[in-house]
Amino acid sequence: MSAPGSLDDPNPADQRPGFLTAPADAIAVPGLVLPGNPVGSQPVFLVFDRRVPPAAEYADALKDVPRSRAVVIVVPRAARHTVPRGRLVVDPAGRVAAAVRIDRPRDGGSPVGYAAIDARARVRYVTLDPAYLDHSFENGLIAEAVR
Amino acid sequence: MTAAAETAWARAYRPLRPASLGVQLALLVLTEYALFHSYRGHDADFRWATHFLVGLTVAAAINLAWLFVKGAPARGMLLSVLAAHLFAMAPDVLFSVGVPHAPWMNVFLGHIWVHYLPSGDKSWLVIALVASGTFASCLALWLRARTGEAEAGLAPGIGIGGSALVTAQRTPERGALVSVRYGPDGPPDIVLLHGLAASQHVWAPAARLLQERGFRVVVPDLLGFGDSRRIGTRFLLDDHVDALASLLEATGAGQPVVVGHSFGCAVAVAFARAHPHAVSELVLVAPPVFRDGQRARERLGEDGWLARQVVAGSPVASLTCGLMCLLRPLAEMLVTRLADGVPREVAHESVQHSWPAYRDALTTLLDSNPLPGALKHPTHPTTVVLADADLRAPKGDVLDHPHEAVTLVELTGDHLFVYADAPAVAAVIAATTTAVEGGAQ
Repeated sequence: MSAPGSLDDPNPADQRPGFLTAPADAIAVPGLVLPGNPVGSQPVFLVFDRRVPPAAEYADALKDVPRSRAVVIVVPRAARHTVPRGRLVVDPAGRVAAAVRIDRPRDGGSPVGYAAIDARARVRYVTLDPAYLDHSFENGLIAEAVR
Repeated sequence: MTAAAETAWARAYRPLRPASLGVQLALLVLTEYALFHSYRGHDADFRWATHFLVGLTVAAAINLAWLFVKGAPARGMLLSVLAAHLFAMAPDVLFSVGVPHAPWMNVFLGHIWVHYLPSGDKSWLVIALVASGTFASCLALWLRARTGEAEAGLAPGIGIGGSALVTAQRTPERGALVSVRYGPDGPPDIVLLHGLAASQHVWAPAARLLQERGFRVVVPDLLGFGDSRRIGTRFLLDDHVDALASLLEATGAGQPVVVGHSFGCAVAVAFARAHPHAVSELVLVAPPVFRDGQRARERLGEDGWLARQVVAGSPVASLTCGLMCLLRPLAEMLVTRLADGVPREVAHESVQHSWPAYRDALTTLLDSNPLPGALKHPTHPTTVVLADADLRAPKGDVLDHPHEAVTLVELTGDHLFVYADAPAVAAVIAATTTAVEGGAQ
C-alpha cells in the first residue's frame, strides 16, 4: 500500500471518509469569509489547492459536479490564471481554510482538498485530497449529496 | 474403529478436508486480489486493508464461537473471511453507486467507526492476528483431541465444549468409572448414584453413616460427572447403564440395593431394567417425576438461568457452559463462594462435569424420563424418599404414579436433603437394605 504523502491528512481516517456531517452538527460559514460568492443562497463546492491547476484537468475533475453548485477555488498566492469554471479566491492568510476547518496536511502547509457547503451555509463535508483532480466521480457524488 | 465412529469422524473432519480448504483459499485470494485492485483504483487501498482485517477478526471470532457452541469446526471457514469482508465493505459498494456514508452504516461491522481506532490499521492487524491465531490454536487442539479419540476407536466427541474441546475423551472401559468405596472389600450392598451437576461427594455424609452400620457401599461418579467427566463421548441413559454395569462387574457379583438421587434415580431405574438380576431393590431419593413435559420444563428450568437455556435448547447454553468449562478454576472459586448453605466440597463438584453430560441428562429427564413408567410398573421393590419442601421432585407429581410395590417415605427438607439430612436418608436406605438382606436370609 502507498505510504502517506506530505499533502495527506495526518490521520488517514479523516481523509475522504465519504461521510457527510449531519446538518445539526455542521459548522456555519460566515458569508463575509467568501464575499461576492453565493454562500447561504446556493450550495457551494469549495476547492483548496496550492496553485491554480491546469484548466483541462480542473474541468475534468469537476465534470460530475452538478451545474447548480457554485464552484470556488481557493489558492494561497495570487495567480494570473483564470479557471474554466467558478471563481478564484486568493487567501494568503488561510482565513477560508480556517472557516471551514479543513485539516492541515502532514507538511503543515496550505491544504489541498475540498469542502461542500449546503444552501444554508453549513459545511457538510470537508477533506484533504491531494489527488482530487483524479477523483471526479467522488467530487461529483459529494457535491450532488450536499444540497 | 467402528463403522459408526468412522462415519462420525468423517463428518467432523469434513470442514478440514484439504480439497475443500484449497478451493476456499483460491476463491478467497482471487477475490481479495480483485477487491484490492478495485480499492487501489479509487486511491483507497488502506480502506481495503481496514475492512479486510475487520472481516478477518470477525470471521475468526465467529468460527471460534462455532467451535465452542457446536464442538466442531464450521464448514466454509475461509469463505467466512470473505463473507465478513464483503459485509464490512458494503457501504463502499453503496458509495460507488452514489450513496454517501451515513452513521447507520456502522451496522456493517462498524464501517465508519473502525477507521478511528487509535493507530488505525496497525491496531487492526494486531487484533486480527490475535483473533485468527487464537482460533487456529483452538482448532489445532480440537483436531489433536479428536484424533486421539479416533485412534482409540471412539466416536469423536463432537459437541463437547470447554476444556473437553481440546482434551480427548476416554472410553469407559471395564471398571473405569471413577468410584469411592466405603466399608470392607467385596461385592457392594449399596450403590449410591448422584444427580445432575453433582458427584459422589453429595453422598459422602450418608455413605459414611452406612459404612458405620457395616454396609459395603460404592459411590461412582456418573459418566461425564466428577472425576469421570473425561470418560465417554456419548451420555445417553444406555451409556450410563453400560458404564455402571462395567463398574459393578469389576467390583464382584452381587445384588445391591441401588439408590439414586434426582437424575441418579433415572439411571438406577434404567440399570434395574437392563440388569434385573443385578439389583435387589431400588431406593429413589427425590425422583424427578413430573405430571407432563410442560411441568418438567418449568421445574427443571428453576435450576437457574443456565438450566432454562438448556431446557429451551438455546445455543447460548452451550457457549456459556463451554466457557465455564474452560474457566473451570474460576467457576469453582465463584460457586464455592456464592453457594449459600451448601458444603464447600458439594458446591465445588457442581461444576465438575462435561457439557454434553449435563445437557444429555437434562434432555433425558425431559424427553425420555423412565421414572413415571418405573413407578407405575416397577420391576423391583421400590422405596421413594421425598422431602416436603422439594419443588423439583414434588410429592403431588410422584403420587400420580402409585403402585402397591412402591413404598413412600416423606422427610423434611428440600431437594438437597440428601446431604442436608444425611442421617435420615441413610436410615431409610439402611432399613431397606437390612430388610432386603433379612428377606434373602
